[in-house]
Amino acid sequence: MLCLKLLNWPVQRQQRLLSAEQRLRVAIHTAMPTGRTNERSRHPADDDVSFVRQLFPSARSGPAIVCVSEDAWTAGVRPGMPLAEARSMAAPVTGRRTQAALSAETTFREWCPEDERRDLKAVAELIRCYAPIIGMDVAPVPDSLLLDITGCGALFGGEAALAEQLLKHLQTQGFRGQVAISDTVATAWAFAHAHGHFLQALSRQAMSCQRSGQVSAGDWNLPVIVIPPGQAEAWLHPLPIAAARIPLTDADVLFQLGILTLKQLLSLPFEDLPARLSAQAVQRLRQVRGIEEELIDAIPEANPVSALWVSDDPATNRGEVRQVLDHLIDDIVVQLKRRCVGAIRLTCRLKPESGQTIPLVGEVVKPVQCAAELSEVLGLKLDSLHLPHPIFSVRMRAVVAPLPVARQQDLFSPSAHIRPAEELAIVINRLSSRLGKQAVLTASLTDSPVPETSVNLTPVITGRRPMREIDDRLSELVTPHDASVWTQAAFDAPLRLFSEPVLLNSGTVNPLSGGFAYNGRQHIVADVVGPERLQTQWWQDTAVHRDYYRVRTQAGAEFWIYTDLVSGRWYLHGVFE
Amino acid sequence: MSAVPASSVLSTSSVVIDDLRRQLLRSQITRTDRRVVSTGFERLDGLLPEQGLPSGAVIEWVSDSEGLRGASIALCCAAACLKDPGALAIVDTLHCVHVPALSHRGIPLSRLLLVRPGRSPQSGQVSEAELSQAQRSDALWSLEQLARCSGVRVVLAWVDRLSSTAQRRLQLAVENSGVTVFLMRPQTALRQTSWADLRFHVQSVPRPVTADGRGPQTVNTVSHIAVRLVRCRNRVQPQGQILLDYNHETGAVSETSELAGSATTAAAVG
Repeated sequence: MLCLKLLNWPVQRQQRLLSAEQRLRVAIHTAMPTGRTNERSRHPADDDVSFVRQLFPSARSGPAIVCVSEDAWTAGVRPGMPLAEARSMAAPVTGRRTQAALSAETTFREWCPEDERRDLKAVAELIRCYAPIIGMDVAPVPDSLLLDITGCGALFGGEAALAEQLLKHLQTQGFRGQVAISDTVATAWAFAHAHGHFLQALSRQAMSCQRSGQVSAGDWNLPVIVIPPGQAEAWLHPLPIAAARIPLTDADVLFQLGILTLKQLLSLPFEDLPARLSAQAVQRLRQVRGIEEELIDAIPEANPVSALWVSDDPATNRGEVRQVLDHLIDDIVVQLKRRCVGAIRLTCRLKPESGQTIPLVGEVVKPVQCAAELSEVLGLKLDSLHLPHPIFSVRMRAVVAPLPVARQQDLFSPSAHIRPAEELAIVINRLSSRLGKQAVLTASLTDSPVPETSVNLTPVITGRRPMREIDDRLSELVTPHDASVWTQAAFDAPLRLFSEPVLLNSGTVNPLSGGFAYNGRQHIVADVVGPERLQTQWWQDTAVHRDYYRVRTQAGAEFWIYTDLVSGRWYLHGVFE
Repeated sequence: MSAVPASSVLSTSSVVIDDLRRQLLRSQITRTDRRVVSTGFERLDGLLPEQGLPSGAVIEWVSDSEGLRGASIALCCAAACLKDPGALAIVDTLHCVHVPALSHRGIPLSRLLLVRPGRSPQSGQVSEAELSQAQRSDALWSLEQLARCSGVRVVLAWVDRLSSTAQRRLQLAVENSGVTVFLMRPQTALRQTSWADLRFHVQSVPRPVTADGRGPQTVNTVSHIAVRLVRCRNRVQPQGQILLDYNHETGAVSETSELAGSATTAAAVG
């Protein structure tokens, strides 16, 4: 993950709009406070305002300075200062508007959090070529962009080289930034903001608040910081707690407790933290530790990969629609190749002359640039689509992601280049396209003793899974590993378990003595093993009270039968195949 | 010069014929990249022409009725195949495969890909015979797709009816990809034509009957399962069966000891 921090972002943004003389001394101030914000129509910019007011109490009663340029700072203007006071301090000594006087004059600009967010998104568009997934920092008053650069480093000669090229590119566009690369979003943010949120850092500087015990994070003002994989935690230790993005109120609580560094914070018993800190603070710490994954909320592309077909001559049958789709896919693939990315999802809107637009969505496990593969996935989806009317227009849009590294083919061995994980990804795409995402699953065991809930089934294709996780999952599916690595279930269980148990003998006659009828046959019980009692807690919504028996019939077949201790009825729950 | 007993001559000639059959089979196997994996049961390996389960093959397991542990034995063999790269895919048409049972049979769940075509079957729908045509065709299509994929090592599916065309397509798919397909089939499949490389018939061995005509009153924790090789591709007449012990308490499947085997074989044949 890469965190791009735009230095002193509100000032930097305003400086780009001003003339060379004016941009030296810039101060950004809040507007006059208005009434209460309507909670229903709350906007992210409202959170920015709340954050600033929490940080600078003077902003609650009137306009106050939020941040300033270096020259304005030298002139004595400080964040948190009321605007009137700042104006009086920054007034030029001379009364004549000469060139020298103009450059000495401080320019005051009103803070516009909404415009700042919009312009930050515009910066994201400038750096699309470095990472396919770019999101905005979730902290209030964002000054950073988060980039998922998984697999992209190789294209630029390494992650450090990528960061350097990105900064150079931004410099040519007039932006100044700092980059931190680490394993997770939380740690990348922490290294880019080693002194905490930029407004917090400014606020501390302004108040010269070298409170007793205040920690120094060391010199982290480097343009590029790359933390090697797996070493983030060790480097995090000396940073102040503000680097963990915890809310201000929680930071105050920790400060009062004498907890100043992340080392101290991370060494606390984790189970005790929810009692002391807010849920958001606990979540942030889980993300820093890597226990909880933080997904980047991607900024939608301003110029998406899309293609359009419109005709007066409609596509009247499935074959013609297929031809149209293939034509659009070819167009999409050209765009993908130009941008050096792959498509992970194709969304089509088929518009008939009358009636509603028909959606058609095809997804693949890993990003692809291959027209044949995309055509196959959409074709399978199209086969199950009802097309009652001729289609006059089709709009296709691709969700893109970085391409996996291409495999090297072996010249002399026709099969040496075949990688099972990639082959499996292709078949999963096909199966998911025709049968649906919910039909292609991976499984893991849960702690539940109830058979119905003892397994967790997860679709292989899920919308928001990081590419690295998908790669790992596919690789795990095909790679043999040491038998000692995984744990074998200790108890035998039936191979077939009915989702709804089958009622035996109308539920009343005991099948252990009288036998039972199942699947058109009468089974006579020869041996019985059990009972094995299964009782869950009474306070659970679906409490279970059952006695299970393993029953062997005279024909040698073995079944799993239980009696419900509440109703006294007998059920067949599974077959030991 | 002493005369050689007639029975000895016959047994010697049958050994020679067996040996010749095996040599013939080896000469007929033209594919060089076909791997052979031990089933994990020494005597079962002994029944097989290549002394193990070949990759790129369709193997049928026919059970006389449900609950006879045919799938359990197949899963033990599948676990042995998973020493090679590739996933284990299960086509679960009835949406009722219970994953903890796989784990107990030695299948690492990280290697499992569960494919559940069609909608969840209605309540009371407990066999493949009750599936709709759409469910059948989806299941068959999934099976063929998985059989074609070299990222899959073993496919396991329950199939009651399979046309000759479908079987031939499946055979060509696995020959190309090297996938081993285990088909769990009902007893009726014994009357149908088979294109499978190997077909095993799994039967329960009746327990010895006491003098009063009733079975033993004590609970017997071990039961015997007979596995008979009834078809082997390349026209070599298959022979023999083995007995496996199934322990009801531990769920372990193991080879029957020689003494127990000789006692129960008579019962099985009878």
